[in-house]
Amino acid sequence: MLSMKHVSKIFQTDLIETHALRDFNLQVATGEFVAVTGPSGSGKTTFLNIAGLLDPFESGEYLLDGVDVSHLSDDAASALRNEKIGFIFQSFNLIPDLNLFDNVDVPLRYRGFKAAERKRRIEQALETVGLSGRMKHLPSQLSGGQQQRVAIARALAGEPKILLADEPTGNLDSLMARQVLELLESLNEAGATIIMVTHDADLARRARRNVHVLDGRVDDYTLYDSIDQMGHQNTGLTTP
Amino acid sequence: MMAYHLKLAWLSFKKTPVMSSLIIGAIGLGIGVCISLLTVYVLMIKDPAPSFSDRLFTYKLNNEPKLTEGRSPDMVHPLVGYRDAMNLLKSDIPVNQSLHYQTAEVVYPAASDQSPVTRQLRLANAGFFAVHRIPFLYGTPWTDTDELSDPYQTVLTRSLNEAIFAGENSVGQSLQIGPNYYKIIGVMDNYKPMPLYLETDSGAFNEIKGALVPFSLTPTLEMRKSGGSTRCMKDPLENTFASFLETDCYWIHHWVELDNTDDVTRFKQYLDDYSIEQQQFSRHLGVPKHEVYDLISWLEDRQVVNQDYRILLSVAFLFLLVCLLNCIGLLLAKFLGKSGEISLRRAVGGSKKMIFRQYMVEVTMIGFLGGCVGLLVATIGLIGIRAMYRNYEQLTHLNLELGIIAILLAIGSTIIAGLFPVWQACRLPVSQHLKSQ
Repeated sequence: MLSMKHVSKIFQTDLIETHALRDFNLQVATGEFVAVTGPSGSGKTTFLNIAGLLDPFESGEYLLDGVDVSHLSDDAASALRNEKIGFIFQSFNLIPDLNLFDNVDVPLRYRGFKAAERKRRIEQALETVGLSGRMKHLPSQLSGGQQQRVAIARALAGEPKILLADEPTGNLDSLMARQVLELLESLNEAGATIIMVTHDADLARRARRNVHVLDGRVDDYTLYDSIDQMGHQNTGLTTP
Repeated sequence: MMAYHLKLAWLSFKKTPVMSSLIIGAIGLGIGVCISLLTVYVLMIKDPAPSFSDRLFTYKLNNEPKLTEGRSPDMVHPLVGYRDAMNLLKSDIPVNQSLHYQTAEVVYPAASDQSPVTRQLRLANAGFFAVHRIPFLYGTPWTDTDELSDPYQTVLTRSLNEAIFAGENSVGQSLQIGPNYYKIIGVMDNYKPMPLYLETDSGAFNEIKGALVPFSLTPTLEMRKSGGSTRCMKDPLENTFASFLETDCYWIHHWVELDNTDDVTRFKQYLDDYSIEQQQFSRHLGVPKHEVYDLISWLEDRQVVNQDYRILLSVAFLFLLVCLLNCIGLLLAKFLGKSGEISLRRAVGGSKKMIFRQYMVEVTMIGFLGGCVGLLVATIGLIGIRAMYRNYEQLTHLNLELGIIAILLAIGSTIIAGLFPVWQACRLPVSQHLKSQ
């Protein structure tokens, strides 16, 4: 699904050159739930932005669902992003003036679906996240957890190949964080590929695989082959 | 997608009403000032007789009766004297010829409850009505024969007929104008050429009011021109009106209607011959010279639109430019304030082109609303101009064409002003703003 080989990313100012990613390698298979962890400044968000085609990279190879994205035009990159990627952000990034229906509608508009098809997908996505009864509500009328569920519905509506989540529970209390995480897990069980950036170790443990990033490189992998229903204990093995 | 973009534009307007209103107000003010002055300007420069202006000609003649030190011997004058007018009227080259001048006289209404009023009086020959295509509400104009056999006839303007006869058909009735009674043979319909090309010296933006009587009455009525210019190059020999007519004083407007360019050439030759002949008679002492003008070039020569007004119009457009520069700043602030939304839209699949299109629709909507406000400002501005300059009354009416121009100008200029802010908004670093939400 996602293949990065020797990817590097440099942020450059007049005074300083920062290697955000260096020789970054990662393969994510279809249906995986990968957590990317690491300390602040390690490069995990940079990785997610490159993975989401939001930022360019200097060198290396990146294939998304078999498509080499190295030299895509803005139009092509946008279309690919729209079709294959769903984003879930820490701060939800809902448009406050639009109701839930219209918020979920945003990516579908860019896909060019007919009104009936958009309506079907929106209703289905909101149904999936348990908010079908509040389609006409504005984001400000919802709790944080509900807003994040709307953001997930927005990401799901386009039926993307991969979900990229950047600290999806970072702005939520523990109860709501759990609800959101359970939702992501159920989506993964249903076949969705998920890459989640987090620096919450407990959260990361619930993913099928952990990727630790340090100084712009993949530091190690941790596989969690089975997940304990109650305690979410680490039962996997660590690979260097 | 357009309806969706319009919906988003409206939501954006509602979200930032103060800033949006400021932008719309700035555009409206600039457009309003421009359109109010442009309205006056367009009416000033338009062809006042579009269906026949190419057939109408007038001229300037070097009719200097004496050579004066310090004055060029080849000066030409835009008006003719009585003797020249009567001589040139004999030419058979023009299809029609118009001689006229304006004076004023007291009109005595027939009804006893109405007071006498001073009104414009025009002395005009029969050709005046044909040359200038004067429309008639009632009756007909006089003929060349009438002028000589039964000259005490009058044609009223519609406004005078309404004032005295309440708009009823007054043809056949008698009306006292000055000391004489005239038989009313016709009532003009509305006749408001703009500019009033036929006598620009008495105000190119005035209206023909009052009554008209035959030009042949000039020696009898002994009425001099009032309003406009009368130039006398010599003092009359005697202090009589007959002597005034014989002396080279210039005050009469002479227009000719010519069929084709051959006739124009022939008429110019005719004026050449006339000038040489008059020089031989020692009436015209300057260099024989004339200049023939068609209607449009005459208006330009007479500077109906003076340089000051053109400068004022330029200043108005500069003011619009300043307003638009302010709009650029405001639009930039407005769109950069949407960095979060723009980044989100980019992240979920909106390309730069799509985002550009969306915000240009918003800019267009702002331009349209600015144009509407501009029309309101222009209307108020024209009311102000009308109140200050009564002569401009006819020029201060906004028509549909200018209304559409105002809207299109507002939209077009706002789109130009919006290009940079929208382009900047599309170039926002997406990932940076998504994280900082």
